[in-house]
Amino acid sequence: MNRPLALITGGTSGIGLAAARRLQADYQLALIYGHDRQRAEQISQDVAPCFQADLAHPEQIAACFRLVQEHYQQPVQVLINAAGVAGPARFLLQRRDLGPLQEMMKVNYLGSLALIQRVLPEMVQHGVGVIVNIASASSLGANPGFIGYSESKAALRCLTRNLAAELAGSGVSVHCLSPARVATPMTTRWLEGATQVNHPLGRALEADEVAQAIEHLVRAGPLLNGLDLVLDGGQSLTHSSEILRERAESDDERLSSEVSARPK
Amino acid sequence: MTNEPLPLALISGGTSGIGLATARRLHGRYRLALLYGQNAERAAQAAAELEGARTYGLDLTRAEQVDTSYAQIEADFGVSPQVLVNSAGSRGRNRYMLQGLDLEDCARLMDLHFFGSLRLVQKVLPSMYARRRGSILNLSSVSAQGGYKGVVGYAESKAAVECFTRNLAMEVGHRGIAVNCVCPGLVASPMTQEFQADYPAASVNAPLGRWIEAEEVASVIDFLVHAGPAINGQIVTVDGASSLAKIQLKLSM
Repeated sequence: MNRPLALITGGTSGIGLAAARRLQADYQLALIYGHDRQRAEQISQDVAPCFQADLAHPEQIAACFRLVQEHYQQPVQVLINAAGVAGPARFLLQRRDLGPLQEMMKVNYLGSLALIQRVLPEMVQHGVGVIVNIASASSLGANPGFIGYSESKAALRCLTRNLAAELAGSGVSVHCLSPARVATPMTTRWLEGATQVNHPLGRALEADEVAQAIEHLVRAGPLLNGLDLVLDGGQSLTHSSEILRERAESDDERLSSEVSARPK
Repeated sequence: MTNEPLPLALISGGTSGIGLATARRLHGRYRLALLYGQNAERAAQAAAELEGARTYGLDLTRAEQVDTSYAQIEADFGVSPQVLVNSAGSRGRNRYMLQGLDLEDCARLMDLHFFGSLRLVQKVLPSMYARRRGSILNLSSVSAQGGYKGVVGYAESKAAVECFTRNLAMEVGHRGIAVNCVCPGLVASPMTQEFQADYPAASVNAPLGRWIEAEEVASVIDFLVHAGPAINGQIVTVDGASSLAKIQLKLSM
């Protein structure tokens, strides 16, 4: 009897890689990565086979999925959508080009949706499967500077809640995790120098703390469905008006001069 | 009485459904710039009915068309809008996910509802920011709250709009700009006309038990647009409590 197959996007880095390490013993793993071939080669040796796909392109997702099917010859039983793109925080007034925002929406929401579409028919046919989507706590509240990224994650959470309703009774579960800031290669690139990290927790989450929750949901089976879990140390329940006021004053000065200097 | 010209309200989807009902309510207190997508006949009717209103046909998923129309609006009225209502919408083609999902349609709905609203906000925001005054109203849907079947694609685009509402309120609230969102249940409008017959009337928006009229939603929009910046970043549900009941209507396929 083959071990069941788990497909993990973003599986060579951050949360995806931490999840892979936790599932390694009991699952066959197919890890999908975007760009870092060198790291993928290393992970292929250490953990599990890696497959390349830019999730912003549906045709690459389709081709990659065919490769996975040929390689394993068995249905995907677990899908973890951990791949994500973000970018430096910017106020909407500072944005000219919507390109980066559209890229986030394509990868984070539409890319996850495309993979779900691929794996779902066989999961439902066999009456077994778990899908875990990694969203972000930034989609819960009101976050200056995160327009674009947090909407892509809000879409993913909404998809999870409605899809769970469709899947109820099928034996297939779909869940969503919304972590606050996690220390990963993605976030260290664009959050460098940030002072307020996950108030009141006071530190970034470790990728393995999120992976622990993923593992729990994967092993829980169909009893749990449509969970929309927030992993933020209580941040979304607290008020940060002091921080916000200080920020608003300094930002406002800069934005005002930018707006008045803009050519009509 | 002063001779100040009336302020300008920009309403996307303003020639149909909730947008048109909103235009009717604001008419007389605002000059109206109404955006429409395809139906020029309906736009002509709206322009004929609402004296002084101007209509502009464009595809909100095309940035260059938004640029052109907005430049024309500023040229026609000589001012920037004080009110923006993002009520343009499309139901899309998707039904149950397991019956086959059209990914391109999901992408299109996101482009229209979220990015389309965002493109218009980008146009009106600099002048609102400079004047320290303005009101932006977005349209969501109870399907964005989750637990509904047959709404994949449409619902996510509306969840993005709700998230956008909260984020934007946080970015511009200190300048007196209000950004709010109305989240209706099933509204009788041209968008829902094709499937109105699918629902037994008594179960629509249960426990309300009837279709919500566009005018009922417009009255809430009218209130939010004029409530001032104390009400900000709010998602106001107008659904006869149906989202509390989470009663599912079976769509005939």
